[in-house]
Amino acid sequence: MAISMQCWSKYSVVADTSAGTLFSDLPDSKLRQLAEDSSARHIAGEVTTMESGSCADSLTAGKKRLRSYAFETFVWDLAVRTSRGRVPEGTLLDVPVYLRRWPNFTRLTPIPEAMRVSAVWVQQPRSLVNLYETLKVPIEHVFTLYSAAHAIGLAGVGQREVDGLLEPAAIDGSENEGLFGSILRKLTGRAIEA
Amino acid sequence: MKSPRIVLTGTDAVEAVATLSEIEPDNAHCHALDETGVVDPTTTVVLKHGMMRVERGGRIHLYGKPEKVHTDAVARLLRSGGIGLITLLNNKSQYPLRDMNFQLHTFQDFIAGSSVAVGITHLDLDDPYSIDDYQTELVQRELQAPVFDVNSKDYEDLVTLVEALLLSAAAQRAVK
Repeated sequence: MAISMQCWSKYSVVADTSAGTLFSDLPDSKLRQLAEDSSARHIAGEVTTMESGSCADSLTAGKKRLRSYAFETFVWDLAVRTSRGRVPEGTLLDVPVYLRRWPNFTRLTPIPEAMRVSAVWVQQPRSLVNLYETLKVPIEHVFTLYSAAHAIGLAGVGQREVDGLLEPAAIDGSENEGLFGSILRKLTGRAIEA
Repeated sequence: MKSPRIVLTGTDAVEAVATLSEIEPDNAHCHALDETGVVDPTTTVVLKHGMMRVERGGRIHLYGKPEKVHTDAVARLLRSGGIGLITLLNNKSQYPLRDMNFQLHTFQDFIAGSSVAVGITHLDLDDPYSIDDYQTELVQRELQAPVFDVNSKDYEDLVTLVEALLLSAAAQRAVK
């Protein structure tokens, strides 16, 4: 199925969910406005659904210059712009949340410290507060990563009861020397010796 | 660890070493090992060798396995002593998931003491296999690994994959 939405009456966003593709002619400035304007509900116009196969016909008929995006790439980027260091409403900061897999970082809008956080987070569910305290990274980066990963379905509250019972494993960056010691100290936020 | 090394296998592994290396890649000639692990002086394995510099004057050696070189011979040479394995897979090949499983099985001794990262080349949205399909296979092998969409000629793509490999290896060591 595909979903088509008009923005500001003149721009289109068409999401073909079965193909994992999104088409849009929104300029970057409008995309930023969409993400940053908290009263953006008035921006969205008519929402229509169509068969996935008729998506291309509809776009051709409109004769618009639409750019195609991977759904994941577009939604991640929009979430990063929207989050700006915040988490979705209702997110509990002290409840373990999972990261199902590494995000495809080579094709996603960068978030500072995201790789470092993901390396630890993907090992087991942890609360956002635990990630912040353990890794000593600015909490807004943890929040933005969670928001973006949650938006594309990679992160969420663990469904297993055991996730809430197990203490998150400690991180030790002090034992290894040499290259790994250097990486581990970076991983755990400890100062790297000159 | 005097000379940490990363092994690259699969599609365009030699090209990827050339992309990443800060020196002109050379050929590393190694005597092969037989199935019992004894040096076979009559057989030589040639790997493409490159090098990356990291902070504090450290170096990482890169070894790319040419596709024509027998994978078993390289796996026997590289049983231990590495940071990890990067396996590059062409998503347009006939059986990319099978290719990945073959690489992971062959290098299982090497991976057991290190880490692994997967680079998918030629990945398009309408391909039959997505990153989630590779991740599902990895989970079945009880491996937690970064899987990224990469171009083997793109330095930023490959450096991101190497960084993820290093962080993944470090995190696995650090989490008690």
